[in-house]
This record gives sequence, structure tokens and C-alpha cells, in this order.
Amino acid sequence: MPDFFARKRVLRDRSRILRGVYEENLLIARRGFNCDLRRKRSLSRRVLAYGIVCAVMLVLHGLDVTPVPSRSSDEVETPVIATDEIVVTASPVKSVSVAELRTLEQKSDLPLSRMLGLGIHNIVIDAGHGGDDLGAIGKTGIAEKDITLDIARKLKARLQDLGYPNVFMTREDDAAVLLAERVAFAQSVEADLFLSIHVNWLPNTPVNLIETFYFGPSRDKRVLELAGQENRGSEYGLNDFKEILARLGTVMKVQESKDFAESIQKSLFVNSSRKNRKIRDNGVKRAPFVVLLGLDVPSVLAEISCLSNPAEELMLKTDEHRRDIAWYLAEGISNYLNTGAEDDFQ
Amino acid sequence: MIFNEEQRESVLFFGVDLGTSRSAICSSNGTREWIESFVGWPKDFIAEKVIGKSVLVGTEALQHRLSLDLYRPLDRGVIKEGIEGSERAVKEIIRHLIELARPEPGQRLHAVVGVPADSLKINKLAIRRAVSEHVHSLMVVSEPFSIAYGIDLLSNCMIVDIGAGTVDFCVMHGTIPSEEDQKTIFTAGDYVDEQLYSLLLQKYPNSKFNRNMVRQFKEQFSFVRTIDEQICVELPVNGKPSIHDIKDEIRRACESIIPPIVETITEMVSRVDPEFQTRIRKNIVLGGGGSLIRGIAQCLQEELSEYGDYQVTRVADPLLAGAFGALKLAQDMPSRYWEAL
Repeated sequence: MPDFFARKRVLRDRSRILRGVYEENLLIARRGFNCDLRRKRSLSRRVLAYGIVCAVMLVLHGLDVTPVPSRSSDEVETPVIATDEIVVTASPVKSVSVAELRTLEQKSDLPLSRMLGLGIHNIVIDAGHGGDDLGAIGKTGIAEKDITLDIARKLKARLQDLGYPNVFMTREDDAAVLLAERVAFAQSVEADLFLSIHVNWLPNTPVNLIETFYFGPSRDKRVLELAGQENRGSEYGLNDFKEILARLGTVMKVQESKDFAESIQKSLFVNSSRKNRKIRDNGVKRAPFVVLLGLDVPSVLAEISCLSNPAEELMLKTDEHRRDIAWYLAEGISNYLNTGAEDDFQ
Repeated sequence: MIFNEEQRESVLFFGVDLGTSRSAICSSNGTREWIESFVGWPKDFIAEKVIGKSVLVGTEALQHRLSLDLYRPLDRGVIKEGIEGSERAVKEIIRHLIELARPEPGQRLHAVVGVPADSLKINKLAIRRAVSEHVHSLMVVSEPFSIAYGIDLLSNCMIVDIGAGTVDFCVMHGTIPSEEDQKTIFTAGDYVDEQLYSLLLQKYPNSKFNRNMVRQFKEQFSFVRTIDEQICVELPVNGKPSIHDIKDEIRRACESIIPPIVETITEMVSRVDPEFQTRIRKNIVLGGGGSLIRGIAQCLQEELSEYGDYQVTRVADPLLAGAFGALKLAQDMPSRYWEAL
């Protein structure tokens, strides 16, 4: 009997030690991200700075600015996801419309990050599904989770080749990762850009189409169904949802996400249509994907292809095709950051 | 790539002991190897052409050291910050060790790396960077801790890992040791080399020898207290080979590390809860290359007898004990922890 208790104590000690080693290394790894990347401020904070700079520039250039209508304090605190107006904190009595900001941005010929002299440093790639969550399954048995993981790996390698060393993946292998954990991971590495990779499944139609989403409400029934599918396994409760929505007073995040989505969609479609003329461009859309919800930085979800299309399924089984898609995504990211990777595809 | 189930489950576990003087690997496919922790790059293209390799590791690097920019990356137990070559050298050592284990294509590599305790404190990130390039998932632990884990001494013991750059002390309490449970001193193997070098220089001022030769003498003949055999080596004097008796110098150099080790052991034991001090005194375990000095366990036990009833033993295979413990940790680690890292 004493042996039994001694053995049990040893097992307990061992288990505690293993957990201790794991937790210590997790801390080191996270600290590693902090140090390696020299932690820039998150883009959301930069966006605020952008607003300030724009306001100053507007004042200096004597552009017409619209006074802010007087509001009660309650109204000011009301969270807004998407609005046509941005309050510019540097100039408390003035505001500027999104259209004006866009005009300014176009005039300056500079993207947001360049205008502020800021770099995008930390890119997070999210390979959709994983573990027990297979995602869509093709007729030949190929699973969406494997395709997304492989493309994510190739994309990471490609981005690093293009000079973006700080690329992270929410999962590096076939692990089940909750959507909330993916968001938490992106936050922990202070992501500046977030791209979630998925493969579409359209059971009632044999078409192959590409579409890219950024977070926002949608009235499209099919899009809502798709969001429902991809949001399975989310650990968010309604309270979390409201809290996050309340934080999403950043119109700029939505605007940047839209730009980012457009760049991804353009690169994916233009390049893919060279190989397959029948492929459809379903464009950029808003959809309430939970994985895009919790982040304050430009974040999009790309449905890079259609697994329900038999010809496309066969293509997706080839390493070459998956590599091509990864390169198109890299081009989309690179173009969004305006550093130009197009030459590599000539 | 679409992995099939078999490939997914195929994982090769490594335990690596990244030491100042020697690095060792034990892997789940049965590999048990150690190498000298030296890495060298040819000084110029002529050297590269003569050697026929762009980088040399271990004994090979030492043999060609005159043609190489030679690195011993964990000098005094830490990666030298700001010296790019040191981090590159660690990468090369890891790459070489992994090659020795011959992983199969497509296998996932999960590694636990034991490093000197100070290195874990000072440049854990540099070590992670250097190692993570070659493995899929990685954990870093202190060397004395991995030795303790390997021999199942998880509580009420003290591990004394006598390495080249450092002597690491670690008290085990049945949990992962904190910084207070560990201490590092620098009177280790390299210190013995320096002592021996200066003693020989004093005794044989006309003889020609270098530090590498002195290190080899130490590794071949080291002892403390008394031995019966004579220790004679051949050293050139004015170009003529000459036999020298170096027994006394070897003993004096080796015994020079005893007082600081004794002092640190007693100091660390005195910090422990008095209720557990007796058990720890009976469980002092030596590891690392320095524990191969003949008679060192007995010598320490005698020196410590002034401070209580100490029992000092040595692990069965000091050169591989750290790597073996790290491998055991890797294999015992639940897969969910590996996935999270």
C-alpha cells in the first residue's frame, strides 16, 4: 500500500513538472514574439494617429471640414461599427468624412502605413478548421483543413521570402484550435494583419468561385449560412460579442479591412483566372465571421477556391496549385502593403 | 501537402544537451551521440577548397581549426550576445546533432533542449531562435533539471552538473525548479584547463604546448586525491620531444574546483526548509563531463562531511545523462502541450 501512494505521488509530481515546463516555455515563446518583433504599436493605435495626422493636414491645406454636430455624451459613447463619419480627436470641433479622408489618401498617393511612416510587421495567417473539424470534404476525400494548412504554410514561406520575417500561423499542424483561441493568438503576437484561409463549398452548383470577406453585417442569406458554418466551434458568448462590438468603434479598421480584402480578392481572381477562365469573381463582401470579430487590425477571410467543383478538387490535390494560390495570396498582401510583389509573377 | 494519418502520427522525439564543451543527443529512434561543441567556417575560399566543406562541426572542426573561424558558442554557459557567429554556431550544432539522429522524411521533430542554467536565464530567446529553425516544436529546460528528470530524482535531491563553462546546481522539490533553486558558478572544466596550463607553464617554461593539448591531458588523466599510476606526457623542448611528469599539476588543477563546489552545495542546502535538509544531504548527484574526474564524488563527500552526513554519487553516464533526461521529458510531455508550442 505505501508503494501505491509513493507511486501516485511521483506521478503527480511528474505531471506537475511537465505542466511547469510547458508553461515556462509558453511564456518564453510569447516573450520571444515580443522581443523578436520589437513590438510595434498595434495598427488600431496607428489608425488613431492617422486620424490625427489627417486632421492636421486638412487644417494646414485649408480643406473644407464639416463641423461635428453637437451630441450628448450618451450619443458619443454609443458604439458604432460602420459609419460615414470619423471624429478627429486632435480637433474637437471638427470632423471629416470618410470620402474626404479617402480623397486625401488618394491625393497623397501613399497607403496608410507609409503615410504614417509605419510598417506592417506582424502578419498572422489562420489556416481554417483543423483537428476534428475537417471543414468541407471533397468527393475524393480531401479535407478543407489539410488544404488550408498547406496553403498557409506555403504562404508563410513565400511572405518570408518577400521580406516579411514576422509571419505567424494560428496552427502549425493538424490541431483543433477554437476560433476564440485563434483571435487570442493573433492578439498575443500583436498582429498587424490577419488573413484567414478557407475553401468554399457550394453543394447545389458546380461553379468555382473566389470571394473574400471582412467583418460586418450582411443581409445575404448564403453569406450568413457560410458565416454560420465557419463560426462553428466559437467560444464567444453573446456578452463577449457585445463587448467586442462596443470596442469596434474603429471605422478605419473596417475601411482598412475592406482595402485588404479587395487586394486579396483581386490578386486571387486575376491570377486564378489565367489558369481557369471559368472561375467566378464573387467579389469582396461583409460577413459576420467570428474569427474576424475580435481583432482591431485589418482582418479578412478568403474563400480561396471551391471544393465542391470536381475539376477544382483535382487541382487542389496538386502541390503546384496550392503553391500558386499561396503565391497569389502573398501578392495580395504585398500589394496591400504597397511593396510590390507583382514582378515575381511575371 | 496532404498528410495521411500515418505521417501525422510520425513524430521523432529528441533530447539535446547543449553544453559548453560537448553537446549530446538522444532520440526516440535509439540514437545516443555526443560531439564537441565546436563549429568552424573556412577562413577563406582557399581553406574551403582544401577542406571541401563550408562548415565543420565537432572534432572535425577542432582538427582543422587553423583554417577555420572557430566558435565555441556557449562559452561560460551562455550564447555571446551580439556575436552573430555564436547563434549561427548553435544552429549548426543542432543541425548536426539532428542529422546524427537520421529522422525520416516527413517526420515531425519534437525536441527538449537542456542548456546551462545561466543560458536559460540570459538568452533563452536566442536559444529558441537557434533551435526552432530545425524542429517543429521545442521546449528548453536547464541541464541539471533534465538530468534529475532522467534519473527520476524529482524531489529531495540536488543535482550538481559539472560542465566546462559552468557548474550548475539545482535543488529538486517535486516541481519545476525556480531561479532560487538553481545556482551557477564558473569554476568548472575551463577553469581547470587554465589552472593546469599555468601550472605546466611554471614548471616547464621551455616546453611548447597549447591550451588544446592541456585540455586533452585533463580529459585523459584528471583525478583528485591520490592514484597509483604515473602520469607522463611528451612535450617538445627546443624542438626535441621530452617526457614530463605532470601528475601533481593535474591533481592540483582538478582539486582547484572542489572548494567552490563544496561552498555552494552547503549554501544551497542551508537555504532549504530544515525539515528537508537531511534528505537532500543524502542525495547529492553529480553529472556532466566534470564528474568524470576520478575520485571527485568521494572527495566531495569527504569535504562535505564537516557540514553533515552527505552522500555524493555520480550518474551512470554523465556525458549523456542530460540528453537522456531531455528525451524522457519530450516523450512524457502530453501531445497537447507540443501542439500548443
